[in-house]
Amino acid sequence: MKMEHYQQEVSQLHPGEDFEQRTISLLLRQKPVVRPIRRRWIAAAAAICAAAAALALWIGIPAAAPIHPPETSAAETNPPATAPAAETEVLQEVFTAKLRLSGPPNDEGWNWVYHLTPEEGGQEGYIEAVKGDKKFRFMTIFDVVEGVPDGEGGWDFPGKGLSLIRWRDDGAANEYVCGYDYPTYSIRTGCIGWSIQKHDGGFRLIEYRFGFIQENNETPPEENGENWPVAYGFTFSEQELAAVGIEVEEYARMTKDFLRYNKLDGIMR
Amino acid sequence: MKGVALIIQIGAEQHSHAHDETIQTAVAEYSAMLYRIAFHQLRSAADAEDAVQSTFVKWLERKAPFDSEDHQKAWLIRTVISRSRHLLDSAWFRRTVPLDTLPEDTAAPDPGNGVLDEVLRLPPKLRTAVYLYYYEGYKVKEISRILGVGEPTVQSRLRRAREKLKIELEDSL
Repeated sequence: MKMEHYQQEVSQLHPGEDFEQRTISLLLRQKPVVRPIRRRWIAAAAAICAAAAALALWIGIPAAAPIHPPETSAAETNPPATAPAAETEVLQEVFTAKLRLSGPPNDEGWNWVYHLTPEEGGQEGYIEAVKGDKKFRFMTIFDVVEGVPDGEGGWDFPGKGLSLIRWRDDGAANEYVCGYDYPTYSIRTGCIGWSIQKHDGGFRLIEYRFGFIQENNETPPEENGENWPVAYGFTFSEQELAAVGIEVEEYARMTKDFLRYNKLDGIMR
Repeated sequence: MKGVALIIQIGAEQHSHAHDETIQTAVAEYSAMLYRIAFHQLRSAADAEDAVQSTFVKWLERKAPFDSEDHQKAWLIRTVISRSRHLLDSAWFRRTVPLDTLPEDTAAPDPGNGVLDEVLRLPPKLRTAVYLYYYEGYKVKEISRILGVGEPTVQSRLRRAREKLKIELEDSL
């Protein structure tokens, strides 16, 4: 009986809405790249023949005894064990969660507002968390890079090692996409992440950073000669959060929602 | 489904409509199963989706043909388990434990409070064995082949899972 219940409950587990379609789109965007194996084998065979001819000349075999190249190539007589392989271009990271940045707020009513320019955000831009009349600076924006068309329908972001190869354009709800850099994410060192925003007929990449709550309010370590709270100026203590009326747990859930939900809804490489 | 690997091997020039259909068919046929397996490993909807997509990318990259549909299915199961473990071992998971332990996780929906919830409390290897045996209906021998472990190991995992589930269910009543 218990296992029947288990089976019923498991049968209710389904991926998110339109997951299949998103996955299919992702796979169709993988670009098969065919190595011309046959031509490579032919070229290799020709190179071997040429080398053999050169060697023959060097050791004194008369030129009247030419080394005839095979009428059929090595590839034809000894085809590779497997057929010519299509190699797919691997996407470095694939995030497909639903975007919520410019859509409805998270379950607790928090939303995020981008202040990109110095005019809007002072010396550095910032991302502001907003819930009713509560608001505070959630992240620091430290770089904004305009995308450059890559000629194949995608956009490169110079100096960032990222390209947008597909934008899932299904309305205003997807004004932004976001991602974050796993290796730089840490409860101690904070997070460096990025968003991509439609802008001026193209796209721009917005790089941001933020910190996390200090564990047990311990003094953060010196890292790379920089004091952590200074380097990542948005690392909050419980007291600082309380000053703006936010519970530690609420902040943590908000942060997690940002990371979980505000992930990429385009495809990057 | 038998044509999957063959079609992929043809290459870019024939990255054809047939190829597109093959992808669509495979995703439609296997994504739900792979999602459930990944969810058993990761206990998070968003992470399970990532693991499934990662598995399909691997599937697309695979060059060797599958012997049969069963072979392909077993390969997909092994791969999604592997991708899930990879995700669990990643720096992301190792470093975010403090947040994952928070109550009222709004980002990762709670799977429920029933038997599934009890199963999800088991160690990952036991969860997988339970899922494959009780939901997918695989025999011990088949699970052994899919997971690449001996039959006694599978039997042991199922026995331990049953014992643990019984105890924990009684506790929760």
